[in-house]
Amino acid sequence: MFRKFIAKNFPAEPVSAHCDGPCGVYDPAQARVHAEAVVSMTKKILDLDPSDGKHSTANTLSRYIAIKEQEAHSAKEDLLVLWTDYFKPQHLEKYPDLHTTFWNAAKLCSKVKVEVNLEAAQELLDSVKKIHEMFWESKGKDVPWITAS
Amino acid sequence: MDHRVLRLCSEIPPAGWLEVFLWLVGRRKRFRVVNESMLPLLSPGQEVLAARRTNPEPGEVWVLAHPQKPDLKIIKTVVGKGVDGQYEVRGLNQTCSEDSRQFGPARSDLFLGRVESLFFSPEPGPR
Repeated sequence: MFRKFIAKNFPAEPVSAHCDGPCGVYDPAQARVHAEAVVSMTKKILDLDPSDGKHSTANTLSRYIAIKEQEAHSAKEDLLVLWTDYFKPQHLEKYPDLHTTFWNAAKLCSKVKVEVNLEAAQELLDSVKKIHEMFWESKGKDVPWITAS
Repeated sequence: MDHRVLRLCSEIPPAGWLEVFLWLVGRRKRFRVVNESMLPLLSPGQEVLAARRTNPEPGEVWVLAHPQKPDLKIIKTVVGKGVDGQYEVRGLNQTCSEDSRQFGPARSDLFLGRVESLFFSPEPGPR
């Protein structure tokens, strides 16, 4: 009774068991897979010749474009989550170009979505690689950059 | 986490009158647990009494300042002692805890108090 009264009327100083939700599970690999897919779909689009006038070619081109746009959007979402949820102000001390890197990467996601631009797609993948290196270094782990394609 | 740590962390004794007396005379400090990384040992809303001590030992539960956010006090279990005066700490609910796996070992001067007893539980009785 006494303790309940104390706890209710004189709250103790909070001490965080610290669940940095959702459970602190982050990995730039998600963005890497999407960025790789953008590079791949951009190459496939450029390899197609839409001037043949075939419905099958138009259908394939349409599908490739839809996939490229979806993958670019997914890459952007994953990068924004890493940027806003994982990275903290103290990381800026070690990585002063962190904000610029993420901002440029997010801009590249938009660029590769609306254009058929292989150079920009490769630039996006390079940006994700840089983020991969910052991320794992910040966690004190040496995780090699390995691509699926 | 090894079995020794699990055994030592299995229970925090309820505060007896001596513990309450030590709190009243300022020899213990009350802390209220928020968040869930110390489940199943400590639940959100429970209050503990901590004593100012030195030399954390593996298996003990401590209140410490977050190594990267000095204004944030956290409650963790000590799981390892380094040769350079730094300690590995973990939450018991490791799927939902930010601890030394993320922020690295904690310096000894960050440790504020060893948890001695459970002062209050929102639900009847300690877990």
